[in-house]
Amino acid sequence: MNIKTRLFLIRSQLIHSKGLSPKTKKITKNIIFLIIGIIIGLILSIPFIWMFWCAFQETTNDLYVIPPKVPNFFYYDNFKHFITDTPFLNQLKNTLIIVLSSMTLNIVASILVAYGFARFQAKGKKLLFGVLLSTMMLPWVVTMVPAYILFARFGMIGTEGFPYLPLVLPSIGGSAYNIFLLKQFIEGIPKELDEAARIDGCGSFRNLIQILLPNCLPIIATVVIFAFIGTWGDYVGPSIYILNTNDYTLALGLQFLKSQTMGAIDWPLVMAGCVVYAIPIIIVFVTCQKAYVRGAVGSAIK
Amino acid sequence: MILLRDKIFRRQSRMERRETISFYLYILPWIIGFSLFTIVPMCSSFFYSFHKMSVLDLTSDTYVYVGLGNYKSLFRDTMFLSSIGNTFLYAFVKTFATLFFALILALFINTGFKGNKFIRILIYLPAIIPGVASIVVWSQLFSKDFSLLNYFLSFLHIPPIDWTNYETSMGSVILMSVWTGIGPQMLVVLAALQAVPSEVIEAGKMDGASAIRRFFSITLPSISPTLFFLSLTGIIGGLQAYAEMQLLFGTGTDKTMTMAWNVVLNAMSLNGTKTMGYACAQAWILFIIIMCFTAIYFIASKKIMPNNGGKK
Repeated sequence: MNIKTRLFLIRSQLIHSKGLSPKTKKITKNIIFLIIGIIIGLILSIPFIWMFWCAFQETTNDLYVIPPKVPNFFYYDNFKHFITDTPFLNQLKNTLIIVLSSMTLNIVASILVAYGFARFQAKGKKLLFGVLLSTMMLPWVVTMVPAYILFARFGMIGTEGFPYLPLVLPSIGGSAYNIFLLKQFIEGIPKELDEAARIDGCGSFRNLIQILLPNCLPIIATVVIFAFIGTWGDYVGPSIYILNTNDYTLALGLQFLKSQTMGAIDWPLVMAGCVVYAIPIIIVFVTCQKAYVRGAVGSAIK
Repeated sequence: MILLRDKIFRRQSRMERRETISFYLYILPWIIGFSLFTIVPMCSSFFYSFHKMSVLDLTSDTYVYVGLGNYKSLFRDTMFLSSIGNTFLYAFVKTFATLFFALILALFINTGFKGNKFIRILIYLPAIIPGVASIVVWSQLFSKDFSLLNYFLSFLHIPPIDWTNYETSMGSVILMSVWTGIGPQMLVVLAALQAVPSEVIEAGKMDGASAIRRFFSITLPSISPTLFFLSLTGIIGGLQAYAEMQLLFGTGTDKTMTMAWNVVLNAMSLNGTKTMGYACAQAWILFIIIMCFTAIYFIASKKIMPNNGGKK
């Protein structure tokens, strides 16, 4: 309400400010836009703010107070409780195993395939690249059921020790989106660089490792970030292939924690879990914004 | 064999042949991955869709051939039929609402006022929470006991809404998806807007075109390939929606059941109903629907926007 009246005042000032210099006008316009922007931004980030808000509350009942009670942001018990009293550490370990192994496979494969598509001429290349791009539109449910059957036949589902093969193995082909991004980027690197290397007696693989990779670091950062975010946040894959609660990933664990306490959910604890789960992504977003935006935008613009 | 090889390589020099071999060697990982995890599953899915089997029979080969039986019973399955309607409703409303708000916000940010970088981050924030956590937060926002959304609505004198009942649940999922989807799409639209050459807009200004006219005659046509791409990927993604509904509601009604969810439910059903083959048939119908839709969408957009340049 307060902001609204203030906005109204500023607007009426603007109407009466015809005599003012263009510079003042510009500044007032900027301030109005900034205020509107902040209002919209705050409304849209409600889920984000609310997650932190709840995570610091002492009891679930504190959430239901009207008007909402400002939590004590130095109250860490929910986090302590989440880390020590739930199987968080085990789930973190499981998640990291999946993320690291599938990410490494995915990125190595994507680089090799993108290099092939970007630098070599061969019959059938165009067709194959078309097939590759169209796999991005393939619905995952079509391959899900038979892939499940396949993995079950080979005894890879719910196996003791390493039940994550169904989640990791499909990465050996790289991912279509990563291949696409890397290929675009490699094509932008001047071919003369390769030629010079070849004249110096450099084989194609050494050329990739020594000449192209150092030039590809920005796009590799993007691809790594997206592979990380994708596998870290994956819910559907683990929910289908992981059967034992001991093998749960963080995503499954969080959902399990929430459903376990059905009826009277311990919201502060669950929200603290959400915050802990989101922290790596927030860190990545804050530290690697440039690479992040390149990946988020790259697909549609190029 | 030698003859065949000679035929293929006849017009190729040794260099070219070596290049072909290296090409296929480099893309070998993808060929292996693609055939093992896409081609083989798709073919076997087609095979299983004519059989009756259960997820429990996987190791014992006890499936029964039923011909077109699975496909026939699809059209008598009311849950399947309503899931098609729900999925399309969700995919279209979600995609176009997100795009609409993203476009408006991108235009707003693109005026380039000071501090817009900060606003951009604020708008993007809900999208960086990973999927499950985001849905958990939203399930609190939709909670029956206390919903912050209802609290804010009370300022506008709107009575509290029960977000997750039979009638409102689909609307709630759409609200959640639009809300979290605006940020990323806004970034993409903004990048497209910034790629519009400013000289063209200046020229429009010089010719005395109004801001609205400039938007519809200059800006919109130049960013239309991006909008097309976003709407296409948005709808294709929406047609495969599963986790959102499943995590938010747990059990589906004929208002929230989506096609992908229905496939998963039938495939993983453990109650001895032997619906895995049936799920394969459903997945194939879903696949055909998505392919048809993509083709129609491409053709229609070529008609509406002839200068679309065949964007992927």
